[in-house]
Amino acid sequence: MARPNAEIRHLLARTGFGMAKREEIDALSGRSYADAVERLLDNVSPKPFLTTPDWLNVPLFAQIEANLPKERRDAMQMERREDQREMKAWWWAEMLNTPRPFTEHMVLFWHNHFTSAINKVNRPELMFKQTALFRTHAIGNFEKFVKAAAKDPAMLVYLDTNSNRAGNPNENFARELMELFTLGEGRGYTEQDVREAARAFTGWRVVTGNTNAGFRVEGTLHDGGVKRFMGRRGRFDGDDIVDIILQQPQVAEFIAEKLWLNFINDAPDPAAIQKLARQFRDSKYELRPVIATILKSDAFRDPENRGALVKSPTDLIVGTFRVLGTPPANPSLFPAVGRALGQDLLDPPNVKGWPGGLSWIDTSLLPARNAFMFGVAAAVEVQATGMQTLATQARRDMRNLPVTSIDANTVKKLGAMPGEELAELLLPVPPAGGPAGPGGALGALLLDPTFNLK
Amino acid sequence: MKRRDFLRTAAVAPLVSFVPFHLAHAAARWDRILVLIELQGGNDGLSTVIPYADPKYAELRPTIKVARDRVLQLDERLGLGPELSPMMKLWRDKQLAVVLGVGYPDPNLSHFRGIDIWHTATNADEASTVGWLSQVFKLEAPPADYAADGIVVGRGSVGPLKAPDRRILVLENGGAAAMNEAKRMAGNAGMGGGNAALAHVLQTQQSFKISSAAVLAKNVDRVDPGATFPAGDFGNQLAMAARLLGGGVQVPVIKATIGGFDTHAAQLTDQPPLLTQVGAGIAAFAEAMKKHNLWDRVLVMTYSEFGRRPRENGSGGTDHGTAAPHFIAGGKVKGGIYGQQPSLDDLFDGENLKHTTHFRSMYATAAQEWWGIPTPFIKEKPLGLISA
Repeated sequence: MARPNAEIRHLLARTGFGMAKREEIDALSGRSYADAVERLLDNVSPKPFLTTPDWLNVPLFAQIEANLPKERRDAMQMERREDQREMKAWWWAEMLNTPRPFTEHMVLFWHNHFTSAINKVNRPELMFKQTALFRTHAIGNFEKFVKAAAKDPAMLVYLDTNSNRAGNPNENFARELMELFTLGEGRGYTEQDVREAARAFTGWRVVTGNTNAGFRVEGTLHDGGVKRFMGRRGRFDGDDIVDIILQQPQVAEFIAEKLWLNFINDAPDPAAIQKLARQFRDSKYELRPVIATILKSDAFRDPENRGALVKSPTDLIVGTFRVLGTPPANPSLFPAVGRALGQDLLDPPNVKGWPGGLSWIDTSLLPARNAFMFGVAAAVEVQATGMQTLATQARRDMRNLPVTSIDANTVKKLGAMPGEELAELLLPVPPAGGPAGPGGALGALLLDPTFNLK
Repeated sequence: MKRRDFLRTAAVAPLVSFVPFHLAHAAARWDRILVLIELQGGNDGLSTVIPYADPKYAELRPTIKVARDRVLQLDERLGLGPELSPMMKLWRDKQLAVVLGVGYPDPNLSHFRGIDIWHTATNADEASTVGWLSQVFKLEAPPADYAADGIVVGRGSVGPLKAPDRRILVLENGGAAAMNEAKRMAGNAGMGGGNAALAHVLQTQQSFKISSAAVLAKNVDRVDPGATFPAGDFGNQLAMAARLLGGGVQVPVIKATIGGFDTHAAQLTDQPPLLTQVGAGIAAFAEAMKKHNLWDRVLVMTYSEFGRRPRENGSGGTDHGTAAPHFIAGGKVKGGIYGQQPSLDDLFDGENLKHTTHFRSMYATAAQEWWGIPTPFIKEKPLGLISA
């Protein structure tokens, strides 16, 4: 059998979860590289692969709930916590199962951009709705995306727009809109702009009380007065504020740089960022063409950039289980694994999201990753040999891991590959040599330090 | 300071800081430990140290003010929030310094920029990626045979220690998992070339192995922390710090973190439980250190990215603000109030507190007074709160 196509492997690793299955690589290998990129973009879908959780259709009786006796409210909150756990597990399962990993890669990219956290939003159905919004706009139009994100119910709760009212503005959303979502910290706005923008978003409220959460402007709470914002004067509302912000050239630069950091390497080339930003602005903020340019760029395709990025915990976990596993029987174990490795999806550390890059590896997280990979290697050994008795340490490593998701046939097939072919499938660069561990030749590659890279 | 190190410092420092007395000083006091507590999210200073006698306080905070009879009085104007009652023993023993109005000029109200400024000791318009402690350690490095340059207990950031080449150990959840990995990696040498990302992985592994081996040798999980710490993650972090120090792990800095202070809404519900943990945690830590005969060798210092807005917002909370009070405690601390309480009548931009103490004064106190390391990069003077 031929070696895996290295360039397609790199493309799939960077647009998916750090690595790809042999079948996925082969399916895209028989065409031109540019075709492969377009094919991947064509496949990005607003629809999830798995059926949606059933509690999504439970009505949002927030008003009624507030008037219930305390025991009843507590019981509802207990149920909601259960649904929150299911929401997290559902998204992990979607990432593990989907035939369109690029879609979920972008949903995660946007979750780390327009952040919200379930621990503040509380209602899992609102978080589901937000990830659905990210799927809809994943590679769509950024202007529409920002305006939709500003009205997204989870966002309205997470950044306190929902309690922002005329005469008593809450600046939380207005500040992050500029600092984190569009312009970048300190790039072209003042404290005065933050205060004035906050007024424009007053009265923006989550609609609850029926089966579908939505958005409305509560007129009596909205400050309809004149605002002075970025050198303009007018009776601006939130959409006007977004329009004015998007006229600033920094927005395209900020987003282009963020895409570069996600797809290419940790050292954006300023001249290339300017070119990407110009394309992004000239296309009126269409995301697909600028992402296509990045994926087809010389920088992206430069073999020097293979293995130049650190896998996020999600890359490490999802990529590993996609390649070694069958669709997991018990996705509820995955959120805790992600949390242990530093990425509790749907509960980012703060509104800035996970800083990523080299910070995924520090003297605390590296040992946690190693422990996880030792557990996977132990499971590989069990599946490859049918071994019934395990060393104490291997049992401890596998505890709380979704080991039954590691598939014996897949493990045997991978184990039968010639060594170099297996290394080229699993690693972005040649192995550096890791610790001794279980799992034979396959285990040695899983435990190699370069397995942390993509 | 070694001559070589001095020349390197002098070469990059502006001439104005070229002060001859830096040439000679006694060896740094590496037997002394700094314990940092980060109050993550921007702690509301006005409900931590309360200007209870100022009528403006009640006026600005109609729904979230602390009733005057619940305030723990420090003097005729100021008092601690009631949740901090366990710290009053330290106050009465004159081992608690309350530093007022801590901030800096042109304050930045972003969490991330704010904490970067604090962590790197820069001015508001400068950016740096090197933590202030790492800048101090560049002037005078902690002993090479110490377990690490700093230990972070819990999942907080390494912020003030941040630098590419510092030896930082992060011990989450009591460090059990880290110790297990330390054993497993003990024999694995794996160093080598590769790209920057791979070099980072291998270097991190090496640093972890050395530091964890030093902690492992002390069997800290068997050390009595020396006090009962409040339940929860923050209390566990401080208990871990007490076990590390009680067990004889040599390290100049330990950092603990408690999050959740970003109280934009429902502050009356959310902030008191956090302050309760801070007060009980610091009090328990002091008790533990006394039991281990270490209290005279420990300096505890709180910090936060900013304080909060004096006027409450419409959500029963407070938005991002500027200056805030902080605590410094220890057996060698001369207890009392340091600095001036910012005025509630004379606000910055009409709505925020004007700082009265530069935060770098706290760092100068730690570096110069506590460790005896001259730090030309800090222009502010130490607070003068360490007794001889």
